[in-house]
Amino acid sequence: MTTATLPAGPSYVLRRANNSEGVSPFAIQLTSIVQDAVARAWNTTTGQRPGVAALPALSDSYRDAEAQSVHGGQALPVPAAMREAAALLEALPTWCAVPAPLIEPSGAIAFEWDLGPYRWLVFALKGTGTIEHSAMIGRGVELHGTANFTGSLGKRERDLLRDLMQFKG
Amino acid sequence: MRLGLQRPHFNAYMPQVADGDISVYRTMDLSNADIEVLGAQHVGTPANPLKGHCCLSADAIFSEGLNIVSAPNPHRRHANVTGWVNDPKNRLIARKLAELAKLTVYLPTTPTP
Repeated sequence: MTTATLPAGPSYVLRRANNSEGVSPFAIQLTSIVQDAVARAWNTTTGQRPGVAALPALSDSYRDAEAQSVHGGQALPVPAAMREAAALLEALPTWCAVPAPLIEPSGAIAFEWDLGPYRWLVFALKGTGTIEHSAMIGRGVELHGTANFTGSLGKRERDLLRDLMQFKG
Repeated sequence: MRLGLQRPHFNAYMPQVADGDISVYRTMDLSNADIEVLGAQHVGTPANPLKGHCCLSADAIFSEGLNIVSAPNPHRRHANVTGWVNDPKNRLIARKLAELAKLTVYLPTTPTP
């Protein structure tokens, strides 16, 4: 099927990332906040935490978002969201897979585990003291909700992570 | 983008404001080359050119309870996808749309010295 045959098919145009642009003080702040948090996690564990491995991708996502924000359609995370993201990275249990970080168009910082068509989980932080989850764990099992977030994972979030990692399809 | 899967990432279909709209273009009867020109003229900029585009049937939008409203500025083919609500369910909707979308990636241009 080609685009020409689609009935009134909406097309979403993707912008090219421009990682060569200068790094803003905001980006430096993000990196600093997250690096500090991950360094603390590193010092308290013998194994590598998932948050450590996610850090470079988070910085890349931020730079992409920064380049796109110049032209609108993309908000940047507020400092509170960065702090929450750092706390989440620090709080991730060692037994979970490394998440893929991304900056949503709203500026929310999201962490995604895409382990297959029916093994998918996203945690998102907006700097509002809450954590959102959106998940598909099993065929037709769609889960979403919002909970308070004060820096540690609640039972609901831990259960989602455990179910995601253990799900065999 | 999900290059290996030939489909976009769900983030491509997330609204900037949780209960806002997403901007799209009607691409019926347009070739990929036509779409690329349209995007270059009205979306991309020389400093921030486009990576590609993704196409999706309007039926997929409607089946998720969303609507497509014509917004003929900056172009008569421009429209907004409306009907989003402020809810984490948006990601589930966006993922379903992304799963159904067809991704076209543009060849990178050689930077001029």
